[in-house]
Amino acid sequence: MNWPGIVYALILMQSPQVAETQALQAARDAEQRGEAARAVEIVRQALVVNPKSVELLKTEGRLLLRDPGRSAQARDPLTKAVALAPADGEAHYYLSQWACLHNMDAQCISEARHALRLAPGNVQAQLQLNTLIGLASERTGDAAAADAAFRASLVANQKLGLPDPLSAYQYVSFLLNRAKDAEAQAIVLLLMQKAPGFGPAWLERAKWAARKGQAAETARMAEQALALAGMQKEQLRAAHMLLARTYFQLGREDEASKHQAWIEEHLN
Amino acid sequence: MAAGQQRPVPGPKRFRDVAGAVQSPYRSNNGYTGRKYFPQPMCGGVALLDYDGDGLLDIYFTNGAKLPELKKTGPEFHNALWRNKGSGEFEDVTAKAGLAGEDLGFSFGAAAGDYDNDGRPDLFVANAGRNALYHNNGDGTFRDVTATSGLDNKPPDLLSVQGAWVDYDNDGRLDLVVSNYTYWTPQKDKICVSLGVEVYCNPKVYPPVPHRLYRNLGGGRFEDRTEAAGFSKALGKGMGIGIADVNRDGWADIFIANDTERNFLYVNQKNGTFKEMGILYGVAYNDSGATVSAMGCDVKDYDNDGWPDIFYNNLMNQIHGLFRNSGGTGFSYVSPELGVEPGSRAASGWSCGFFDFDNDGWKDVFSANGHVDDVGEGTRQHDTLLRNLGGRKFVDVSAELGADFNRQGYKRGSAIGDLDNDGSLDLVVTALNERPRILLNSGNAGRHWLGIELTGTHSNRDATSAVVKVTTRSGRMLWNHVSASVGFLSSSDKRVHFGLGVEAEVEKVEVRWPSGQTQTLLKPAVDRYLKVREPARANSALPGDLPK
Repeated sequence: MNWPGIVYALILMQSPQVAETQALQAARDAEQRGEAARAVEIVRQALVVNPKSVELLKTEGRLLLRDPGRSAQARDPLTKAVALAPADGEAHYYLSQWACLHNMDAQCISEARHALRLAPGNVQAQLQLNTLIGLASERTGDAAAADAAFRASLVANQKLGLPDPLSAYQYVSFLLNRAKDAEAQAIVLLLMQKAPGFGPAWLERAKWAARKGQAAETARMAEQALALAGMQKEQLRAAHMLLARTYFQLGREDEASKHQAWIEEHLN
Repeated sequence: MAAGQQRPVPGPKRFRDVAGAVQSPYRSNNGYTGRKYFPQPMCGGVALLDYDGDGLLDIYFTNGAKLPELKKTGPEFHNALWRNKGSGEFEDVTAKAGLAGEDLGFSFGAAAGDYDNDGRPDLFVANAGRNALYHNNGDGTFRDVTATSGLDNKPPDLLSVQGAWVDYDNDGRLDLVVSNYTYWTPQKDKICVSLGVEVYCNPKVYPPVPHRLYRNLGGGRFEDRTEAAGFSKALGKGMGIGIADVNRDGWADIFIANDTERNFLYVNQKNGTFKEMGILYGVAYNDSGATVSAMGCDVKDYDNDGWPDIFYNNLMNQIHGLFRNSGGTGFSYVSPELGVEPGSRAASGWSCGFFDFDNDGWKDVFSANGHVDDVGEGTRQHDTLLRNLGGRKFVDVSAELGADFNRQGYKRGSAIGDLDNDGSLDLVVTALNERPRILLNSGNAGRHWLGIELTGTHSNRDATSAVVKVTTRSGRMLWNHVSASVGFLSSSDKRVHFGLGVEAEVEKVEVRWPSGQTQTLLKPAVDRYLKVREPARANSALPGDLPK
C-alpha cells in the first residue's frame, strides 16, 4: 500500500470527526503535490464514513470544479452541501461557480446573490461574486444587471488595491462589447498603472491603438503584451496575431511572417 | 431581447411566409430517430436560381438521409425544386427536373452557377457521400454529370459542406471551391454524452481536412488543383464560403469560415495559386485570439467605402464576427464597436448574409438561428436582423419584423433574393425537420432601388467577383460585389441590389468586370432591374479598378 493509502486506512479507523479533519488535511496535501485526483479520492472515501460533512462535500466540489474533465460532477456534492448548510456562503459560492461554468445562468446568479447576502461585509466575496453575477447576467442578455454587478466588483477590487485584475478585465470586455470604449479604456489605463504585469491590459491598449490607426503604438503595446503573456495561450496568440497584422500592414513582412509562423506552430 | 425567448411582436408584418401554400412534401429531414449522428445539425441547404429563365427566382432545397444507411431511402429525404409561378406561388417540380437526388447521401450545401456559360444556371450539391454536379438542360430538366466532370474523385468518407463558384484564374469559366469538414461515415460516428444525456459531439473530436479547388477546363470538365493552387496546406472544418476581390487587384479571393478552427482567407496570387493569409489579414481569429464556431459568412461592403468586408456568425455566447476591410491590406475586428454583440450573444447562427432589407442604401445583416442541440435552455431561436445605421452601428430590429420572421426553431440554410421582383429583398430559410419559410419582404417604405443583372461575355457569364458602383444624383456612392455564395449551405440571388433611399435618380453605374474591363452606364432609370452585358472591349481608361 502506498503512503497516502496507509494514511487513509488509518483515517477510516478513527471517529467521523477525526476522520474528517485528517481527510481534509490529507486531501490538501495531495492537492499541493499536484495529485488532485488522489485528493478527490481521499475526500470521497471519507464521505463514506461521514456523508453529511459539509466541509468534505465543499472540498470535493471545489476540487472537481478545478478539473475541466470532471467539473460536471461537482454539482452533487455542492448541492448536498447547500442543502445541509443553507447559511454557508462558501457552499453557495462554489455552487454558483458550478452553475456558471455549465451555463446554468439563472442558478449561477441566484446562488451568487444568496452567498452575497450571507457575507455582507466581505469585500473579497463581493469582488468574486459580483464578477460571477456580471458574467452570467451578460450571457442572459441583462446588460443593466451585468453592468451593476461588474461595477460593484470593480469597487470592491479597488478597495483591496486591485488584487484581481482578471475580474476588472471582465468588465473591460463587457464594456467593449457594448461599444463603451471610453469607460473601458479608463479601466485599462488603471490596470496598466496598478497591475503593470497584467498582459491583457496592454493587449487591449494595443487593440485600441490599432483602432485609432496608430500602427507604431500598436506594435509597441502588443510587444509588451506578448512579453507578459507567459504561458497564456490565447493571450500569446492574440498578441502574435495583432503583431502579424500590424507588421504586415506596415510592410514589415519578415516580422509579420515570424509572428504568423508562431501561430501556425501553435494551432492547438 | 435574447434569442430563444418568447416575446410580443409589435409593428408591421414586414415579412410574410408564403411557403405554407406550396403543395410539396419537402421538409428538411436530418434522419434523427433517437441517435445523434454528427452531421445531423447541418441539414437544409437552399439555392435561388432562375432555372427556367422566366425571370423569376426558383428555389432548390437539399435534404438529409436515413442513418446509418446514409441513403435517401424515400421521398422524405429527397432534395426539392420549387418553381416560382409569380404572385408568391410556387410549385414542386422536383420529379420533372430530376433533382430529387435519390442516389445521394446526406446533402448539405447547394451552389447555383452557370459553369458552362450557356445562360442557364447549373447546380452543385455537397454531400456526405459523393458530391453531385447537375447540368441544366434548358428544358426544365437537369442531368447528373458528376461522373464525367472530374468532380467525382473525393474520398468516400470526406464530408463536403458547401461549394462556391468563382473564376479564380479569370479565364471566363467558373471554377469551384468546396469547403470540407472532416472524414466521417456513420460507422465512424462517435457517441458523446454530457450530464448523462447524449449530445452532438464537439467538432474537436473529428480531424480537420483541406478544402478543395477545382479548375474548370471547359467542355464540362474540372481538374482538381487543390495541391497545385496551395489549398492543401491549411486544414479546416469548412462551413460557409465568401467570394470577393478583397484587395481590389482584379482577382477573386476566397474566405472560408471554419468551425472551431481558424478561418482562412485565400488571397489570389494571380498565377493560378493562392496564399492562405487569414492571420496576416487579421480574420483568422477574433481579436482575443480565440477560434469560434464560425458558420455562415458573407463578403460584402457594409460601409460603402468600396472595400468588401467580412461577416460570419457563430454559436451562443460567442459574438458574430464583423471585420472591416482596411484598404485591402488587412481587416479590423469591429463587432464590439459596431454593436454586433447584443444581437448575437444569445443566438446560434448558421446561415447569414448582408442585405439591404429596407432599401436605405446600407446593407443590414441577417442571421438564421437555432442551437446545435436541443439540450439546454433557449435552443429554439428566432432569426435576427441587425439593421445597419449608416455603416457606424448595427441594431437588432428583429422584433419589428412580424411573427413569421420571428418563428422559433432550429434554422439552418438561408438565401436572399428578390423572389417577386418588387425591389425588396426576400428570404428563404430552412429549419431542421420543418417546412422551410419563404419570407416575402412586404415593404420598402417608398424608398427607391436599382437591381442589376450582369452578363459576362469575356468574363464568366454570371459575372462572379465583378464590382458594381452606383453613384446617385447627390453623389452618394454605393457598392456591391457579385457572388451568389452567401451564408451557410446556401446560394443567393446572383443579381446585385441597391437600395437608394429617397433618391430617385442615379447618375451612373460603373462595373468592373472580372476580365478587367470597366463599363459605365449613365443615368439609368431606377426602381427596376437593369440588364448589363459586358461589352466586346473596354470602354474605360481605368482598367482593373473603379475610381473612388
